Amino acid sequence: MGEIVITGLNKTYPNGVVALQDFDLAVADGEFLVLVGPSGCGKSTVLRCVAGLERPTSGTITVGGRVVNDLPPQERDLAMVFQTYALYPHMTVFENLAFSLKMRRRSQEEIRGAVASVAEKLGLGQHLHKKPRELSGGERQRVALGRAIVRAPQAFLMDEPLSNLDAALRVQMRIELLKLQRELQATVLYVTHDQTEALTMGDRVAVLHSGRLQQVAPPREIYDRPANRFVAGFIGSPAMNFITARITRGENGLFLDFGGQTLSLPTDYLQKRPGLKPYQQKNLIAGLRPEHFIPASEAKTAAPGILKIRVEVVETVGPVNYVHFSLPDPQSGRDRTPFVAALDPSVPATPAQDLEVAIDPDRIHFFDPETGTTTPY
Amino acid sequence: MKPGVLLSREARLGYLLLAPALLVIALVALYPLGYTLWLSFQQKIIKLPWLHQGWVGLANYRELLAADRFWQALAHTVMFTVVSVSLELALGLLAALAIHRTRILTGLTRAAVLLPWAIPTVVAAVMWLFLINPAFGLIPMGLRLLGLPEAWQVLLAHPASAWAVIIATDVWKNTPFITLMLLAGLQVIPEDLYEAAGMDGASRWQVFRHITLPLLTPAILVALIFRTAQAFMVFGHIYTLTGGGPGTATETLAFLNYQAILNDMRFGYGAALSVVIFLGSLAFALFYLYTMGLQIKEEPRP
Ligand SMILES: Nc1ncnc2c1ncn2[C@@H]1O[C@H](COP(=O)(O)OP(=O)(O)OP(=O)(O)O)[C@@H](O)[C@H]1O
Ligand SMILES: [Mg+2]
Repeated sequence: MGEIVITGLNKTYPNGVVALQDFDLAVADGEFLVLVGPSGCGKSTVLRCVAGLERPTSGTITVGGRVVNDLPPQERDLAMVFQTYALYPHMTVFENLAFSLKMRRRSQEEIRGAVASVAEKLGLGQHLHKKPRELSGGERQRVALGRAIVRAPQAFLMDEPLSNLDAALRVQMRIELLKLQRELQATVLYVTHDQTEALTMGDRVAVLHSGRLQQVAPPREIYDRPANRFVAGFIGSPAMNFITARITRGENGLFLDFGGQTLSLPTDYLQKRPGLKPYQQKNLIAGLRPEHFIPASEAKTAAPGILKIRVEVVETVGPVNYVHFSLPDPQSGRDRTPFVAALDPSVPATPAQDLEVAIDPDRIHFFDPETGTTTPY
Repeated sequence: MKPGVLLSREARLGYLLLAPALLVIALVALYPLGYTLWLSFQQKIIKLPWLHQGWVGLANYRELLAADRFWQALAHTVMFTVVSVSLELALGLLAALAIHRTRILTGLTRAAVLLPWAIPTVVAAVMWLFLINPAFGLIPMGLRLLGLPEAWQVLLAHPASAWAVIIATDVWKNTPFITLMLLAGLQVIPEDLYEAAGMDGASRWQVFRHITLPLLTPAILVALIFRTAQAFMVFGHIYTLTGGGPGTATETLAFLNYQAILNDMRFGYGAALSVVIFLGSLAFALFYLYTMGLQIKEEPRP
């Protein structure tokens, strides 16, 4: 297995679309790196440049220490799982799995052995004689995976391989895929637009937006310390709530003004978060994750910020209720900024009801209103 | 209600809906075919009305099979069909691959490729007559420049060169048809299959051999069946270019058929020839279906 290093990658398509700008990324040997971003942000373009299916406008790509820029896909020794699976429709599952070995002129015995072991690993044994069209979506997905792992390439490229599966199967395949990767100690560059997939699967997560890399970090860090407002809003479901806020110092302490309400902050708040000092008395973007609201009665912190809200809609999803409400945001000129709080179903909440929720001040994210970058922690 | 009843009802409705189409097919295809078959067992010679007219059993076929000219024409027809259809397929495939790969020619220009095919056979043949005219034709002029003997410049005077002209005319006219059929076939092969094969380490040739060709087979099959049936009935070029000559060197089955019916007014004998031509085309079609169609039945389209 080899590492993939991408440096200074730019890609402009012939029609003028700038798909990638100054993209740098290194996937370590044996790492499962997830590249995540909204549709059209350039994820597939990254994979296709690494695979050799697309020629970079500029930049260098190395695989296992070897510059591959000028090599055709055949010579890069990478395996790719396509979003569409791209199974050969006229070949049986066996022939699909055997194809890459056959192209490399391996012996019949070797091919049979390799295919059998892959089929066993992926539970495809009883399907070997079938054509792709006779398989279910999950089975096809496994064949696509099997076709990639049947030989031991330098690294795997996977383009949303689970996106065509139903929810239950996706969760199951997620785990199977991870197990397989650990077992093979494979280097994987995995593309998805699903932030849950990114957080659950990646050793590290790279967030891409409009052709620019936003942040590369382990999932926990991406979630806890998003580098900017885009990452904060993209990672997490339901998405983080944003509103204009202002830190003010009053006679009896420190306050956070937003949504027409004033929350008291612990007095040592700015000591703990010195990065916020320059922003005192200035507008900031505050970000609050839905799951970080708690009913006021359960707040344990010494100085909880208590927020009075009027419930608008309650969505029941099982383990939690999503309570929708809105707050005025005069600074941004909107009088209704939508908010979602994920509350325990034991908290009574019905539409038009008034409710008090608490916010742990340590869990509030702040972003520079101009640049959108996170204020230093 | 039992499921069987429902099913048979549905089946009945199905047949009912099919009936108009079947009726039309019966009228325009089966009736003439049946009539020709019936006619081929008759003696019907309009020029010689005093002869016995009517049922003669297999006499027409017996006469046919005993005639050297028939066997010669059959050999000519098969040769012409095999050579010209092979050339057309090879050239058409190359052209289709080139157009598809380079993405040259789109829309209107692509339709323009069809132009030779849209020209009526006789018009095309006359054009070629001009091209090969020994006095002012472009081709003999070129041959002269190459220093070929004078005698060879009269192309239609020698069986081999006459055939070359006939085949060239046919290839020129019909290759575009195959090109277009195969181009359509190529366009439905998803791009990602080529990419997957590339990632799997297949060379260009291997991609062609293992991906393109198998997935193009249905289109090739349709094009071949169409073209072969047409080539087996070749008449227009022969009639216009050589009239079957020199001597009988370029006579084909359809040409004999024309002579039997329109020169000799022998309708029964002509019908027997028609039946043979039909069976010949059918044999080719069955051969294709047998060799290539087996895979297709399992695997229609990507
Ligand atoms: N062959 C192409 N020619 C021109 N523009 C292209 C081409 N392929 C992609 N693009 C453009 O480049 C941008 C990035 O495309 P890309 O396919 O990499 O996005 P993606 O992140 O994979 O999206 P998705 O999640 O929808 O698959 C898009 O704006 C797209 O329209
Ligand atoms: Mg994509």
